Amino acid sequence: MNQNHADPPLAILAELTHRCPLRCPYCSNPTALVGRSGELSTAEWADVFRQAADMGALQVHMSGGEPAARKDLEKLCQAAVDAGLYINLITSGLMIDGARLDRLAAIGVPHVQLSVQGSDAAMCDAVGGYDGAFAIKQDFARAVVARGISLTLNAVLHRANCHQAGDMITMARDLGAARIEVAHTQYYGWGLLNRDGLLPSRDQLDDVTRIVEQARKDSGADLQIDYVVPDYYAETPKACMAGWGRRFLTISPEGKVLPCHAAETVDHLTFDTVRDKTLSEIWYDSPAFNTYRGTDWMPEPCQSCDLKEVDWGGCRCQALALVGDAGATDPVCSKSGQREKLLDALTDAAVSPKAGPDIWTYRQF
Amino acid sequence: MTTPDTVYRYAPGVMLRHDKLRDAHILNAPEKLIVLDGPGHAIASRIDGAQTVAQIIVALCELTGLPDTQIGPDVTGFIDDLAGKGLIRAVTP
Ligand code: SF4
Ligand code: SF4
Repeated sequence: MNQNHADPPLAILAELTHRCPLRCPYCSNPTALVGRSGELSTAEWADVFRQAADMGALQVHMSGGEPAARKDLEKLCQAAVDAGLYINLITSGLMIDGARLDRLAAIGVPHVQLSVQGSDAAMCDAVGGYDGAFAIKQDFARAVVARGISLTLNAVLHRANCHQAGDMITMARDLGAARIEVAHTQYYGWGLLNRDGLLPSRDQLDDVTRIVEQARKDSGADLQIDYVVPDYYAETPKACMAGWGRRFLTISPEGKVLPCHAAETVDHLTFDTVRDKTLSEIWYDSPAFNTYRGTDWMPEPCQSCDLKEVDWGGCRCQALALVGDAGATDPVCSKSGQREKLLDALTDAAVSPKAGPDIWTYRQF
Repeated sequence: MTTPDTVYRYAPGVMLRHDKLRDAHILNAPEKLIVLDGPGHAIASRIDGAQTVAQIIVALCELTGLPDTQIGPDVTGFIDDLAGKGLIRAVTP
C-alpha cells in the first residue's frame, strides 16, 4: 500500500444547484455561478447517488445554493434513500413549505441543517439580503422539529454579527435544535471577495470563544455546540476536508467532481465530470484527486513535520489564494514562513470597524 | 445521569445500520459517523427505548462470559459517551 492509497469516500457533498433566494456576502459558492441550464438532471443525480453508495459512501449532504430551488428535491432525496445514503439537508429554509416538508419527512430525511444569519430580523435579513427571511426561518425550524427531524442551526459569524453569537445559541435552544454550528466565515468564493468586511478582530473572536465555552457548560448534552474558528488566527491550519481526497468529495451543480467545494479555484487541475467518467474512476485515478492526496506531494516544512498526517498540510485553496501556489504549506501555519500574507487582513480587521451592507458585495449571478 | 434503571432511546436522526462494504456496524447521525466495534454494536443494538442499562449489562455478561464487575463500567462508559454526544436520550418514565 503506497502513501497515496485511497480509501472509499465516507460522504459526498451534492451541490444540487447554485440558485438561492439569499445573497449572503460570505457564500462559499464560486464567484462564477452555474445557472439552471447547466445543472445535472434528476436521473444523473440519482445515478451519482447509486455510484457513491456502491463505492462505500454512507452519507450525502444535499446542499447548494439552496437545494430546494430544485423542484425535484423530493425525487433526489428519494433516490438517495433508495441508494442507502443518510441525508443531511442543508437549507436556507426559504423554499420548503409545510406540504413539502411533510413529503421530505415521509421519504425519510433524518436531519436538516438550517442557516441563520443573525439572532434578529434586522441582522438576519440584512446579511442574507432578503426581507422577511428571519420570520420564515423561525417557522421552518419549528416545523422541522415538530416532524421529529433532527435540527441543526448553522450560524455563520463575521465582524457584523458575531456579537449575536450568544443570542443565536439561545435561539437554537428555544427552537428545539439538537445542534448548533457556530462557524466563523471561511474565506473562499464570495467570502474571500468580501474578507476585509467580514474578518472579526482578535477581541471579537475571543468574546465569541468565551460565550461558546460558557454555553457548552450551561446546555450540557441537550444542545451540541460545534465551534469553527477562523483559521487566520490559528497557529496550525485546519485539516481541510480531513485531507485532500481522503474522506469526502463534492459534486458541483454541473457534475464536476471536486476534492472540496472550493477546489475549482485550483485552476491548474482539470476536474472530470460525472458525465464523462464514473465516480470511482475519478476518485481513485484522476490526477485532480491524486495530485495532493496523501503526503508525497508535500514540500518542507510539512514533509518532515509530525503533524503531516494530522492536518495534511492544511488547505490547498487557501495556499493558492494567499501564496499563489496550491502546493505550498498553508500560510496559516506558523512554520510556513508566509504568515505575513495574512497579516494585512488581520491588521485591517483590528483597525477597521467597517462591515455591513454598504461595503459588502452581495452574491449574484 | 446514567443509573442502572435508565432506559435510553436514539435521538431523532440517529440510526444504526450495517455497512456491507466495510463489514462494520455504523451509527449514522447528523454530520457524524461512528464505526462500532463488536462490543460497541452489542450495546448499541440494545438501546431500544425498552431495556434498562442494567439489563444491557446482564446481556453483555452472558454474551462475553465475563463478570459484571468487568463489563459494567465499560457498558456505562460507552453509554455515557453516546449520551454526552446527544446521540441517545433517556426515556422519561
Ligand atoms: S451562504 Fe447564503 S447565499 Fe450562499 S447558498 Fe447559503 S444561504 Fe444561499
Ligand atoms: S508544517 Fe505542514 S504539516 Fe506541519 S503543522 Fe504546518 S501545515 Fe501542518
